[in-house]
Amino acid sequence: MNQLERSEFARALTSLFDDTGLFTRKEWADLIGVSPSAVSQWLSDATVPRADHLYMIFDTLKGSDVPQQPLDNFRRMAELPAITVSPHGKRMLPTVWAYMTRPAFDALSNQLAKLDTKEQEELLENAFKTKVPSHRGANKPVKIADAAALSSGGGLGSHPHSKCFLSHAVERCPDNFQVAEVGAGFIKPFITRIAADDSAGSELRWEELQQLPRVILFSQPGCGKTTVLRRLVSEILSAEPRSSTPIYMHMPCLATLLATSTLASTLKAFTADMVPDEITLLLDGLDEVPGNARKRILDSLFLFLDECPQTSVIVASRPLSCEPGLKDFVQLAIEPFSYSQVQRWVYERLARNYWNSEPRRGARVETYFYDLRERPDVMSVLRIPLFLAVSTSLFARNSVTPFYASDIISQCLRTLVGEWDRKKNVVRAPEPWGTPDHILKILSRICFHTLQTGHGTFRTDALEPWLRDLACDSTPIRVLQVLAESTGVLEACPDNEWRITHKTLQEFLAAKYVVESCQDVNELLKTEFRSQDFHRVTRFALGITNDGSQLLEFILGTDQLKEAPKMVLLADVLAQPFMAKHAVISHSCDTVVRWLETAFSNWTLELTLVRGKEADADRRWWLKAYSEKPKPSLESQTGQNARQVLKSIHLARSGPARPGFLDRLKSSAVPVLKHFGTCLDVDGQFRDRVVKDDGAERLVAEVVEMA
Amino acid sequence: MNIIRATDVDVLIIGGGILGVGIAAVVAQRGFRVLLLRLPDINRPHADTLRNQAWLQSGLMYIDRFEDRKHGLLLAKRMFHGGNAMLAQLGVQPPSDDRRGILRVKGVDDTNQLLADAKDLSISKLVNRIPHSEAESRLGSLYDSQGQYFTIPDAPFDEAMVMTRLREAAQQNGATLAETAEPITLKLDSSKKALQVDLGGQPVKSKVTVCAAGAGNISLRDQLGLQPIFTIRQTPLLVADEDLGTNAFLFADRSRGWSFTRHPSAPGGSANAYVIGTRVHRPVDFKPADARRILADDFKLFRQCLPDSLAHLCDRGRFTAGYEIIPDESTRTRYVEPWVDQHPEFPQLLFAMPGRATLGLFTARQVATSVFKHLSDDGHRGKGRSSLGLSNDQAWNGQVHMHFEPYFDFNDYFDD
Repeated sequence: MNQLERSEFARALTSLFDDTGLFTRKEWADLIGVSPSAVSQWLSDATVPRADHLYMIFDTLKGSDVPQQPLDNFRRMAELPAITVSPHGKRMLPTVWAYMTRPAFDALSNQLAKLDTKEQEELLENAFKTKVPSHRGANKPVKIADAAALSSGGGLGSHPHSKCFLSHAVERCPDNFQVAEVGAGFIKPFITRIAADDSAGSELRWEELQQLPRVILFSQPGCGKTTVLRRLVSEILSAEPRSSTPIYMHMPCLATLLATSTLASTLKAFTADMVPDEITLLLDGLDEVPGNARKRILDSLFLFLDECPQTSVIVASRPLSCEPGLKDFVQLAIEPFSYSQVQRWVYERLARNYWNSEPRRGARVETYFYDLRERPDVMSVLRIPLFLAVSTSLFARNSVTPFYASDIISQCLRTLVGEWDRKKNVVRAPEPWGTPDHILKILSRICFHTLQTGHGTFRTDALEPWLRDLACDSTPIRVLQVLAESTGVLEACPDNEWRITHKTLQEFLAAKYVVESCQDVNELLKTEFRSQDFHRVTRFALGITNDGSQLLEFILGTDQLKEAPKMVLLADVLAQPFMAKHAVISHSCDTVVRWLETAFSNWTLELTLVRGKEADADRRWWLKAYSEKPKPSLESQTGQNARQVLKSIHLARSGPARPGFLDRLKSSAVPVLKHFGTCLDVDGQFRDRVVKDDGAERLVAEVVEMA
Repeated sequence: MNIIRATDVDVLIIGGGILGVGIAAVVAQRGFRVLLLRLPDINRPHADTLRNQAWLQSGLMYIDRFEDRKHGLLLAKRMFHGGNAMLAQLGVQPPSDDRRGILRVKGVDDTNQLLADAKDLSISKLVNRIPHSEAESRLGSLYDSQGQYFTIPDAPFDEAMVMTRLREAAQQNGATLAETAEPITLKLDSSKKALQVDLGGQPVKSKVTVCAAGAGNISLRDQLGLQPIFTIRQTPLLVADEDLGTNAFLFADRSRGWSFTRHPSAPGGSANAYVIGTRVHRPVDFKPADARRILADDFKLFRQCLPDSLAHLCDRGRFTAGYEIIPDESTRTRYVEPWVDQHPEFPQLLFAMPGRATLGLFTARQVATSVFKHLSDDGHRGKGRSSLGLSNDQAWNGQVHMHFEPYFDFNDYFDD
């Protein structure tokens, strides 16, 4: 192939290889880890180099003593539109330079990696096309609201035609959940398929969501349905060229309108100059429509879709306790956040919205994460974005870290059942038992009894004895449906069965029942005291009650547990904020430490270190101890209990048990425990490890605090 | 031990250093289901990735190790520009000019050799003599009036941030990254048709398994009856986190044979986190992590390389026995090059080494190419996250930072 027949890209690349004199072509191939024939193919326009290879070639030459001209020529070529410089230009859109410098793992690269060459080209063409001729009205002015107004969360209601339909999209979100921007700060949730076949649970890429013509999007309360819909509106509006016009509707509001009109005629007011094929309807809050109106609104929707089958529809709803009849719709679920999504959300939200001007904001956020890592139960709750918003708001305003597990969960439930529905003006049950307080009371009772029976599910008829003395004249199934849709803690299963969806919330609510019940706490707990579930219930109960003295005395005195597990429980319940008489707390701490003294009596302290106390940098604490003949071995069950107790004591460092533990440990005659007391001054995750050596054991423990 | 709810995955990666997490990022990006297992670092830093000098090498400290200097040039370019490419692709800031290294040589011969090496490495324009006054101002207490000072293109890079970005990329694309208390065991069945991966008594099934465990690969190969195909060189490093009285971020004394890098990612963002190396290194036999020791002779030599003002660090700082894994002739690779190999009878089992941390992503892409050959595209690409269930404790989520703990149980002490 002669020089003129080759593309500008191939010629510029050849010049980089041959006119700089740094390496031979074979050496270049060696350097970037490809075969010499691969290089030949690049230079003859048969293929194009990978972006990272191209970057490395250019960067290598840029940092070397080589003639500058080939580099300048390449750079000039690389800034031209890619399709004008290479027959493979579609793969390098918009320019060769953009192609070779694109971050390896940004959203576009992630998307491209999953596609074949043809699909990649199509995606890039769509992504980087400049203005194209108007196609069936696709570039008409925005009808409802513009993207900027939507993403700022402030302009939705300003459009004369949008007031009725869009106002709730902004006003309904409680607290700082509202600032879950649909712009730069938006975190795309994982979306999975709900299906009876093999595709169940498989993930749907975000980009696929808009391509499905009929979707019903389910999620537990607070997982971000409204935010997802708002984001979709924003993306549709900002797409260039725009392929459709989004119409967002809050379904209870729509239901009111449909009492006197049809969906088709209602929409006509907005869509008179639009082609129905180019409309995307986003219908939010099907669960908020009262049961009797749901059928009417859905019938109206089906009628409209019969007339305009090309209209795309996305409906969002909490899981419904009865079949909505949307059989032609693809059912999808918004998953709760993963841990890394929680991290990103927290950092962005706290740093941006609360401490933007604070120089040490990173460190403050870290303190939140430290406590979160130490509290997996709280973490399981905060995977729900609404609860995460509540928790971070409490942290920003009142320094409430995840250490305050009971406070956070309590506030989350109050927000979910009370404030949020009130802000949305949703009444899920007009009867007296439908108040937030009453709903939580009923749910608490159910959670307690389901824990007591130990079954994961229960039948509708099981509810009757549990609710017998409650002032509730509705049928059990109606009560359960309301509880399920208003809290998400219950879920309807086939065959008239119900399931509790969230273990930690179940345990918390059971604790609430224990504390609020007029029955003797000891009586309620003692029958099931061996169950691990009830250990956590006990912890939450102590966190909720106004005076936990009786509860602590019950644990101290119970003979249902052996010594070691009792100490694990005692230390665990003390590792939180709670209220109890000072003397009882001191006695509890003393009991725990006395037990530890037996466990560590024949251990020698080898190394101790507490550092960084005065410095602004990291603070660290170490302990290294050795025992020739440990009794018990730290790998035995009792030994593991002892390690668990140490961990719990460290967790207790910010709570009311701190002085009791601190005084007792400092005065201990056992050197290991005496030094262990100093770790209560260091925030950070407690990590320990045991090394065995021919019967002897070495314990290494560490706490590192990031400044 | 109930660690992981075992579910089939497409790719299992053993090892969570820069290579393992890089492979996880690249493979998961294609939509395959990836599980990465690593041993935790805290108190037990098996991984060397975050214990080394995180030095973006121009090759000036390596070129004299090659008989054929052309090989040195190739390797140097790959290390340096491969590292630059990795930082750019991950959106990690490249080292700024004020972090570029300072190099000292003493005597005419050493100076001429340095300039000759720079010319061979084709970086003459980046190696510039600086006046003594500037050297003194930047080096502070480490300045020695005898000798010549040059700026060099070398710089420390933020290796912890690289790891963090790769981990984020892997997680965003659905990879499951977990820490396991116990090492993995591998066993090939007698027909050589199935690999049994045991994780604390629980099987993990995967279509392809990649061992990217650094020196741990030797143990994994040993479990399968495979000979090591690399030699090991022990290069002691000294970690110090006290103020050395200098503003420099990287300093190399070619004549004395010592160097340091300063890092931004020590716990708490401490400004005084130094890793010091010397010319001391020796071939050793492989030993498991808890049996490694620095030889007393090496300790003495190490101390002699340091200037007197820093000799006290040998008593107060922390040593690590640091292994460099060097493929032998049978791998048809040269000194510290990236290396990928498959099991001779079970090709779905791969072993890989990056050679140098700066080549982590470069090697990960090479490994991924081999991995993809074993995975059919239909029915897997785009499926997204694996359905593995992990508790908060098992997920590898802790902050990634350089290791500056003052002691470990092993790998630190001198052999008496």
